[in-house]
Amino acid sequence: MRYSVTSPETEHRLATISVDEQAWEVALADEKGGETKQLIKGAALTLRDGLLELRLESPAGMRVVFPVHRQGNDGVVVLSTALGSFRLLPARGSAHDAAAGARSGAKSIKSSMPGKVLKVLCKAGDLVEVGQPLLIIEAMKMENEIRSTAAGKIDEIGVQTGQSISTGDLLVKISSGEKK
Amino acid sequence: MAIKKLLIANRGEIAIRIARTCKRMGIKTVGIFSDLDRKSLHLDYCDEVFGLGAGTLADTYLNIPKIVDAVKRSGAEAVHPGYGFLSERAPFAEAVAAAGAIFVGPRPDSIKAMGDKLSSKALMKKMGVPLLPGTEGGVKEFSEAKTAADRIGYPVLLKASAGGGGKGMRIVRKADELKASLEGAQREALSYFGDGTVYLEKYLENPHHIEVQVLGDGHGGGGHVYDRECSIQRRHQKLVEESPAPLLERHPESKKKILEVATKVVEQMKYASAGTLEFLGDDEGGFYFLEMNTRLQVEHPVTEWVTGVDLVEWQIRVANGERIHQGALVPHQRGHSIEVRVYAETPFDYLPTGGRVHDVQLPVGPFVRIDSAIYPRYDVPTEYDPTLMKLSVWGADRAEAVSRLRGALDELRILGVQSNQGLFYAITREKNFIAGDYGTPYLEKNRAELKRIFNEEQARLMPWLAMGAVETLRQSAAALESAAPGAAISAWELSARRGQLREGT
Repeated sequence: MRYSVTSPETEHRLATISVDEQAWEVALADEKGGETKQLIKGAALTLRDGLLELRLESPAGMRVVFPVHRQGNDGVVVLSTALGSFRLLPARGSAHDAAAGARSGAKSIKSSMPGKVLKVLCKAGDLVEVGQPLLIIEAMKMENEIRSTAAGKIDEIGVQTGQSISTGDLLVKISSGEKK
Repeated sequence: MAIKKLLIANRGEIAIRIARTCKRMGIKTVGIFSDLDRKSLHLDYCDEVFGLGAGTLADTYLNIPKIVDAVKRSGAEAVHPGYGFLSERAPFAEAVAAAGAIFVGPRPDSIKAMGDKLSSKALMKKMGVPLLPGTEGGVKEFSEAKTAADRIGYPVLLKASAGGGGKGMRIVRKADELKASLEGAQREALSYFGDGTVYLEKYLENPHHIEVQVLGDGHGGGGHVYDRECSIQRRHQKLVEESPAPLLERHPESKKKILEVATKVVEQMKYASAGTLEFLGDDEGGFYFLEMNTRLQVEHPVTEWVTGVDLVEWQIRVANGERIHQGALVPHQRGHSIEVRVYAETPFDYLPTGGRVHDVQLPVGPFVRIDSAIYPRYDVPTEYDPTLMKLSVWGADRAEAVSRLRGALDELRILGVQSNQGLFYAITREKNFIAGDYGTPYLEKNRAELKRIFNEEQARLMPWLAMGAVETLRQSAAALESAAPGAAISAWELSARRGQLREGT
């Protein structure tokens, strides 16, 4: 099973977890694209009133408690730590997604923050470069420039000036396919 | 005539903080709120509340006629503006007075005098407050620049008079570099801005943000309420504040001087209420006036910790006409206090987050203070500033304060909204901060090390988090199953199916 982890630093990592009765094997994607594996034995997990307790046999007596929350029905779990909140979600068909993306050559740019669209700096049909400013979103009294993460042609703009948006809303769809 | 009812023209944590002191003093409070703030915690702390309706800030918290109307309708005898919003707008202070209520703050003329950077600097210079040495106007000839640079002392900064954004800027560290740098800066200024005029200013290698809290009674009584250092900033906004200022602890002579200067300003201006003089400091102990804030400061808790003075109480007492006789305040500075501002933003890139707070666990225990306005199931609005809470601690000395802050931060859990608390996790473990050795370039200079500390802990946590998430889903799936027998489908399967449905559309 693969999971995607969103940390407070907004990095996306993939974790693979295998579970059997005695042990959990957790493999994490590291920054260089490799994997680090960790075998955790004898973990007892209890969940009550939004608190998850993990007890380990080794090191003996070790105990970790996290406040947890299951968000909606999408299998998203939020956990909070001294570093901030983490979100874990199933990396559903990530291989499939990647293949589909490659076939159509399309890339969706989604909002990483809630806020209000102040300005749309591009229009459908525009050819854009990586790093080119596409929109300005205002959140927490600050203006944030959203830059293109792909080069290509703008297929669709999902928002309008003045519109309020949430995290994950589609901002712009770019097709990186054949240049005409 | 003592104030018996006070309107708080603000929202969030500062409105709660003001309401607390009012309650202790037996003063009834009136709160205001925009439509977005219908569920804000500050309303729970006020005796009466008035809605300002929907719309932008200009329609709500910055709308003077609406707020003055609430003052009249509620019968409030005084208005506390908090910080931000209308706190430093002289027309608001005047409108409050015209409505027959007391503005809990300085006189409008003090607000106006300090509201303009140039005129406030001129006034401070007259009162003997040191300004950053520089040339008053532009220089053209090398001989002029040489005389000025010798007077200011190296290193000096050459800046284009018409410029900005670093163009036409040169740092000159030695006298023999001046000629070439001047010519270069003039050439750049001319080509970018069409005007070759440049001016000289003292260059600070490692500037510090130092400030002095003041409190006056409007008749020349009062003075300084000690110093603070707020050098750790991002996007020119403070993140960590402490009192006493570590920089001034290394330069006791400068500390004595800066406090004397601040008291003199209060006396000469006959300043009323709380205010803050902000300075740039350098590693040699020099300090130079930046601006004066004519209001209560966000970071006032650290001053309260080390002096035992409730600054809001004194603002109200002065507004009541009470005089501060010599020695009446007698603020001693005892121990050390540090505050961090927990914002709804990512720790290292400062990107706004927001969203729903599912749950919050606040640190408690000895010498820990929380100024917060969040609660479980609160949706953090993205229309206002990103402060989730201020966490401040006290210690007998700085080392104790740092370790107490570290412990308090480790207890803090904000479930749901991503915050910058992970940055403070790293800062309180970073050796330069622990040593009190930092200036305003701190976050840039130590970014790699701070990220390393953060990443190390993140790597340690990640397997537990992954396991925890899986178990949470497994148990909720089990709960689902027992509720609907036969529906043996895991939460993961469900979500995967939904995902495929979405992909199909």
